[in-house]
Amino acid sequence: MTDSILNIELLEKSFGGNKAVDEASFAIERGKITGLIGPNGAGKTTCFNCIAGNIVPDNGSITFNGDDITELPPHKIFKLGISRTFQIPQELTMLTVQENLMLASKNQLGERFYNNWFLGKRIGEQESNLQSRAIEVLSTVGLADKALDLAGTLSGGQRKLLELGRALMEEPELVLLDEPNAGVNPKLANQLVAKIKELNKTLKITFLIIGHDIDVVSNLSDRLVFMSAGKVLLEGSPDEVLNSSIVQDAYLGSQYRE
Amino acid sequence: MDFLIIENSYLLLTATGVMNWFVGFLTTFAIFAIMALALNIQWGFTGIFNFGVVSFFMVGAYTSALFTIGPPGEYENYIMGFELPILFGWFAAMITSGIVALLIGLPTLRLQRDFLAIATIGIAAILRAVALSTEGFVNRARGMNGIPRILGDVVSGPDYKWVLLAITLTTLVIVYLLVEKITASPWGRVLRSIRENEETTKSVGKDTVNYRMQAFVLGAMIMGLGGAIWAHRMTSIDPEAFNDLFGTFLIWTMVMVGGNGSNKGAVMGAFLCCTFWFGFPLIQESLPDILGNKVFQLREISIGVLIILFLLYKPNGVIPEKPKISRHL
Repeated sequence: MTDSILNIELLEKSFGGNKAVDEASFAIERGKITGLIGPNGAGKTTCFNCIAGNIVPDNGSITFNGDDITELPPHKIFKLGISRTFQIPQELTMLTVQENLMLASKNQLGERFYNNWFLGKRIGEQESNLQSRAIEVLSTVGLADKALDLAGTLSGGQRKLLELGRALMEEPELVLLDEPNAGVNPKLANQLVAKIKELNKTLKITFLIIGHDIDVVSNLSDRLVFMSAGKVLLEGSPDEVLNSSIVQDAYLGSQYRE
Repeated sequence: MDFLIIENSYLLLTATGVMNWFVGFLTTFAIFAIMALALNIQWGFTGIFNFGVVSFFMVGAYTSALFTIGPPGEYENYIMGFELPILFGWFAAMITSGIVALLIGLPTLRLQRDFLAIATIGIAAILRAVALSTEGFVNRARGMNGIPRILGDVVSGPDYKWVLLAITLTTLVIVYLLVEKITASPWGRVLRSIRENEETTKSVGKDTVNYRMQAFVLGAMIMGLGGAIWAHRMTSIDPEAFNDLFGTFLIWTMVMVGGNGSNKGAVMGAFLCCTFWFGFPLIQESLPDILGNKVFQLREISIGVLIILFLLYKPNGVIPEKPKISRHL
C-alpha cells in the first residue's frame, strides 16, 4: 500500500446550479510530485481551494496526514503544513517583496500584539533571521534584486514567482501550485521546474501542481490526475494517463497521438 | 461644534483674541489628531471601513463624564456621577469604548467592507438615539453639564487654556509614539497585509478575523480617549453634538488627506483639515452678505470638493505610506 499524504474522498462543490467538483476522489503520495490536469472548468482550482480551506466543500472529506481538515479555515491548514499559490497572483501590493515573504512564516513572536511591548530585542533577532531566509528564497525564484521593491511594481511573471516564493517560505510538507509556469518566460520556467524537482528530492516536499503546459507537467510529475467536468476520470503514471483515449479525446486532441 | 468660531470671532480683532483663538485651535487639533491616528489603525493599516467613529468618540466622552461628574441635581437624570479623578475617567473611557467595539465587532467584522460601513453608521445612529431618548441614562437631550476640567481645581482663569493645551499635546505625542511603535512591527505587517489582500493573509496562516478585531478594538480605545479629553475640554456635551459629519467624516477626511497608513500623515491631515474647518468661517467678514450668511454651508460644500480633488490628484495623501515601515528591518 502506498503512503498517501492527502486523501480526497467524494468531494463535491457547487456554485449555484453548476457542479464544479462532482464526487472527486484521489490521493496524493507522500514525497511525490502529482500533476492535476484537465480542461478549463474541470474543477481543478476548486479542488485546490477546498484543500487549502479557502472554500468549504458541500460534501466529501479531505484528510491530511490522517487528520480530517475538511472544515478547517485556511490559516489552520497552513499551520498544519500545506501552503499554496493562487492561479491569479494575490500579492500584497503595498508591502515590499521581502515582506510578502516574511509574512508567510509561522510562530512569529512579533505578530502578537503584547509581545511587541516587552520582547523588542528577540523580535528584532527573529526579524533579521526571517529577512535572511526571505532573501534566500527570493534568490531561488530569481527575485533577490527586487527584495526591497513594492510587490505592486512587479510584472505579471514576477508576481507568479513571488507566489511560489511565498509558498516555499516555510518549507511545508505539501505545496499546492496553481499554474506556476503561466506567464513566466521559458528560461525561468525551466529553472522553476528544476527547482521544484530539487526541493522534492532534497527536502522531500510533496507537490500538487495544476498546469496546462502538458510537456512541463508530465516531465515534472511522478503521477497525473486527470479531471473533467468535476470528476476524476483517470489517475496514474504520466505515460498511462497521456496515452489513454479518454484524455486524448477530452483534453489533448487527436494530434497528440503522434 | 462651531463654538470655537462663534465664541471667538469678534475677539479676533485684538492680539489676545488671536492668541486665544490659536490656543483653542491647537487644542482642538490635538484631540482630532488622536482620533485620526486611531482611525488610521483601523482604516489606514487594516482596511476596516469604520463609518461609526463618532460612536466611540461619544462613548468615550460620556463614560469619562459619568465617572468624574458629581451626582445629578434636581432637574438632571443620569446614572453614576461618581466624582472620580479624571485620569480614572479617561481609563474607563478607553475600556468602555474597547468593550463596545468588541460587541459591535463580533457580529460585524465578518462582513465585507461596504456592509461593515453601513452597519457601523447604523450603530452610531442607534447609540445617539439611545442617549437622546432613554430617561435616566445620560440626561437625554439636556446633555451632561458641568463636567470637571482637567486640573481645573489647580489652575483657573485665562491661564487655564495653556494647561489644557499642554495636556492635550502631550497626550497626542504619547499616543503618536505608541501607535508608531506598534504599527512598525510584525503585528502591523499582518494588519497591512489584511488591508492588501485578506485571502492571501489567511493562506499564510493568519487568523484575520482575530487581527481585524484587535485593530478595531485598539482604534476604538484611542477614539474613546479622544472623546474623554473632548468632554473635559468642553465641560458640557449632548448627543446632538456628536453628529456624523463632525465625529466621523471630518476624521475620515483627515486620514484621506494625510495619507492612509501613515501616522505622520494622519497628524498632518488633522492639522490641515482643522485649519480648513475652523479657519474657514473666519473669512465670513470678507464675504458679501449673501455668501457670508451661508458660511457654514459653504464650508461643507468646499470640504466635499476638496475631498474629491484629493482623491483624484493625491490619492495617497500629503504624506503617503512609506514602503519601509518595520522598525526591525
